[in-house]
Amino acid sequence: MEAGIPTLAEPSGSGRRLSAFWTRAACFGALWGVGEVTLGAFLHALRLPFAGVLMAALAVIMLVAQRQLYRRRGLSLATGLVAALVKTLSPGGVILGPMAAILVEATLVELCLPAWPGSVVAAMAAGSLCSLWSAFQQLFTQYLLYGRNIIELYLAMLRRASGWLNLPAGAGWWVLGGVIALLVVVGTTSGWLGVRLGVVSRQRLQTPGAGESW
Amino acid sequence: MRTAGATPRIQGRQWPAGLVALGCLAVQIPGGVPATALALLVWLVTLLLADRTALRALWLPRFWLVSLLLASLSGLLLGQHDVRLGGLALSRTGLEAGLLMVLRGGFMFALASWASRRLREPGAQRLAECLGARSLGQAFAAAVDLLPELQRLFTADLASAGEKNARGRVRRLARAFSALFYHTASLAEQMSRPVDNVSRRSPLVRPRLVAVVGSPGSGKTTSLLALASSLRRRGITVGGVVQPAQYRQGRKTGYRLRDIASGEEIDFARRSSAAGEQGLPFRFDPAGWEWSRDRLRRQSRRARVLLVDELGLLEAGGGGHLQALLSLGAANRADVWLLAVRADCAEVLGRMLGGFDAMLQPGCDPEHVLRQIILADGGQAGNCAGRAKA
Repeated sequence: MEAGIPTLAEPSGSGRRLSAFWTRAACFGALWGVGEVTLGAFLHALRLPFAGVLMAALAVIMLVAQRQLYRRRGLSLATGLVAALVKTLSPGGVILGPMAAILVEATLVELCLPAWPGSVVAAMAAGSLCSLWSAFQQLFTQYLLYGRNIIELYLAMLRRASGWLNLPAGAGWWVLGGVIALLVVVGTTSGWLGVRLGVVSRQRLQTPGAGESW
Repeated sequence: MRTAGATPRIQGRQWPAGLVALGCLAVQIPGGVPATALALLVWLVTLLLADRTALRALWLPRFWLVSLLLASLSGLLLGQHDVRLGGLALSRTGLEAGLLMVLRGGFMFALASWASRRLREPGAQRLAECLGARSLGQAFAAAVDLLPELQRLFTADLASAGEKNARGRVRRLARAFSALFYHTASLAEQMSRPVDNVSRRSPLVRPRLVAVVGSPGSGKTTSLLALASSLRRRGITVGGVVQPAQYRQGRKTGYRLRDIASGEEIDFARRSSAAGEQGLPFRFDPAGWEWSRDRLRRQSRRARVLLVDELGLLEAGGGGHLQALLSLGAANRADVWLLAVRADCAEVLGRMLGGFDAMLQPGCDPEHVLRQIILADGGQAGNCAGRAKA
């Protein structure tokens, strides 16, 4: 890591040094952006179901862990802004959706964490919200694309499917509830992992010699 | 890695197209088929004139297939079945809703395709700066510059995650993710370190370790005390403990512990006939270790430079002052640890503490050491490149 570490003394030829706040946002935003451009694009190409939930979980782990290291208000949002800009480097087609997803996830974490940055419960809440958002983002995008008719169509499909399968009324809501519960479990786990990662990284950064080996 | 090279050249200025986009968006908001069809038509003509690459991006068979499928399902499932087409009972309302969905979907997709291309332009960063988010623009530029470094770390961490069974692979991947996060955090710390050496170290960065290395009786403690005096003369707060030896008739009879900050001293070790810890001919008072640990903990919160004397065989064996030093952890706010280290233990202790940033001889000129090592170049020499491996 010694060789070739970029300096932020003159980031864009302006001669103005970036503040520690923006430097940290740049580093973690770059990390998130790289993940979105590489792993996100790969999962998108594989057409895996709930790939967005996986990406959101990774983002939550990183954002929550980052807030364990630096308890500065607005840092998660700034990191999201940088990551969304890094996403513009993605060679894929339409990037508005992923960019919006990044910004919404960053905003949700930002809203949940400032009051209790070190709280596991707040981190779990942030994880759950992000997980739910990423799952329902697809529906939201379709609503934006096709208008409210798409919702009516999906509801009609659900009713018809229930009729064909002779399912009792309200069975669809139980399925929906199950999916939401699963998403909440994934979200809370990612929030908890974020807190753990943050605490462990903090200890390693502070302890002489400990960061060298993993 | 700049954006300019990654994007095809844009034809002309795009702001008139932006105005047309806003107009079309407003026209199709009421949601009727004619209005949406008009908006789509106008927008496609605009793209033909302004940005053909965005127009070509609309050729995405999967999107159009899904849209047509949704439109057909809408004809089948929504509203009363009042039309028959090829033996299928369909709904006029549903078909209208389906057509509206295809038109609106096409328009929004075309709009998103154009907007995505605009966001990729290098101008996005300039726009961010124009809007007052100058730091954001700079942070983006910095993030782009960081990408090769992160890619290298990512590759290195993942390469070390090779494992045969699935469980082990997941565990190693998780470890690689943690390592990547840690490396990013330490990169952020290195890059955000203040240029001014005198300003306080971030609590997340380890202190700089400067070792005065020499054999017993070579003057390590004297050098430490001389350095402490020089530091104090410059107004730098110094804390820690030194361990002056006690002599009687030229023979070392024991050690005392002295608190550098208060000058307080206690008896610590006496010569004993039986070999003690690590074969040393001294018996150490356990209360002395506690006293030392307490002083180090308290002073590491206040002092800029922390002195610890006589790191030797005991510490190399994992005992002595080592545990007190390692347990300081998050509480430590001292920028520099100045350590007196026995020459025959320097290698082991260096490894245990993650490497010394500088190694000095006893009797070195305190002013020179202060200028060249302790106060100078707190940036690069401090924690990474200049770390001298013992």
